[in-house]
Amino acid sequence: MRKAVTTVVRAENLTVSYGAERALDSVSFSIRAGEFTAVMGPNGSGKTTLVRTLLGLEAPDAGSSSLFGEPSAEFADWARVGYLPQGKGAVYGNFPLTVREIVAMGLLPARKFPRFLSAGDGGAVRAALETAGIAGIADRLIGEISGGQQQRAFLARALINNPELLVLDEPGAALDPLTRDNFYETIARLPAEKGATVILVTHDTAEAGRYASHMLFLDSRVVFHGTREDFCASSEVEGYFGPFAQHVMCHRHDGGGPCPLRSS
Amino acid sequence: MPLAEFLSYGFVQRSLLAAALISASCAAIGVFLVLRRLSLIGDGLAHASFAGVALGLLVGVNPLYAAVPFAVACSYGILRLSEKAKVFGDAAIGMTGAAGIALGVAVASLAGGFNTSLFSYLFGSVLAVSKGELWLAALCAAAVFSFIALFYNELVCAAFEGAQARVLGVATAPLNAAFIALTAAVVVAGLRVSGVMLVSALIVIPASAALQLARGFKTALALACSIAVFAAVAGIYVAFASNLPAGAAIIFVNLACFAAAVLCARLSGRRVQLRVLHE
Repeated sequence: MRKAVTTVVRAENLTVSYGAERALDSVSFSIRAGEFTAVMGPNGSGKTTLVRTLLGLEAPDAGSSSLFGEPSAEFADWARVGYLPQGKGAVYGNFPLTVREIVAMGLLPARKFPRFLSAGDGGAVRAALETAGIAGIADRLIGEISGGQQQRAFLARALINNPELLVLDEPGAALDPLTRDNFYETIARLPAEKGATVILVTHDTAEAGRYASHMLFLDSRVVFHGTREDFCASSEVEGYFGPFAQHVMCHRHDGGGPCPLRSS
Repeated sequence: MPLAEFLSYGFVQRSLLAAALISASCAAIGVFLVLRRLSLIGDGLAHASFAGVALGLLVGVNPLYAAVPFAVACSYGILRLSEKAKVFGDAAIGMTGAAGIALGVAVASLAGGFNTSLFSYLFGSVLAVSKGELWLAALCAAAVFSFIALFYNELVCAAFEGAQARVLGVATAPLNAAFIALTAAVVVAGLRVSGVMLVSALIVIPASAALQLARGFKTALALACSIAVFAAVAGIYVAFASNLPAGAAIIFVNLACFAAAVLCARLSGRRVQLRVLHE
């Protein structure tokens, strides 16, 4: 039986170095169930290293991290996690896998040995393909479709198990504006509709400000972690990033409220 | 020579069966290795197994039986080098292979007197397959196809995702270790077919030919195995009929199949382009 935990992700003094360069420096924070956290920071600030370490794909030099209360390195209940890594949307040449087969891969974590997929899985795959708007290209090879379509295939795979935790590492990079809006709208509904927790690594300050409930700013260490409202009211953030970033993230673009930029 | 007469010889039947089993196993493994950019591991493990062959000849044990544990240990060494010593995979393969060749040459030089036997393992001698070696080939083929059947989805996932397959629930480290150990055993069993110098071609060429044409992973596996078995049978027939070394003839037929696959892929690609233009 799954343990009832409210803290989904926890990092304690997480430190990761590549040679002499410290990618993460004593990073500590926790993310609770249902939060939509945007992880932001300049290039090389450790965003991707952070999510890879949280998922146990990289071992920290010091500190620890956990998923659903289990140490990341030992975590095995991957049906609860959907992950869209950075760099998906690359060219796969003649890799002989169709979009449908790639989306079906997402069902593997929920299977026990031997992990065979059956005809009965077709419904779940079809639903995921339709959610991502790629049902029409289900039988195309992954190397034959565009980067944006590949990105949507990987999103469909990440969503197929209705994960409790969705980790998206710069998902909007290969998407056109309309697809990107639909994509973020889909993701933004997950916390409210399904209680899912979302971690979104992004450089897109406007999208982060529009959809995320929490902000985690990294620059090898945690510069800011808190709610969007705290972020918008923080003079420390303004001092660190300047007023422009805060304006882009805190000004409501949907006409639903006043611009909270204090200097305006 | 008429086909019926060719097939009536017991040693021909043994060699055809052994070559078909080994070629199909190498091809199936090859599809995963080629897609993972690990094509050269067959080469490295074959070179490494050369030391096992030389040691077997030295102590009077069937060289293939001696080489299997040696090659499996080397496969483990390659993984440890690339994971723990932070050596790139291709460099680890190169170093392990070179160590095997160096050790084999040193053992052969110290012992002396078995150069002819060693030569047959360098370039293969499939027509001299013994019943025991045929059983080894059958065992390897059974292990390879059972492993692929049981772990098919995990292997495909690991080939596509690499280490990130962990997030899809795949235990990548033990899976990789088992797969590379199996590759080592198959490479050793293949030394009788094509020898240390050419056995990696049985891994790379049919898989590369299949990947030119296949539009699905299972199709790629089936096509690679079919090409490999055809090349093994046709190669042995050509070798027998024209007095060529069988290992070399098998590789020539494989290369011809690869060329045909490239041509077919080009032509079908052009047909698709023309259809799109007409539409």
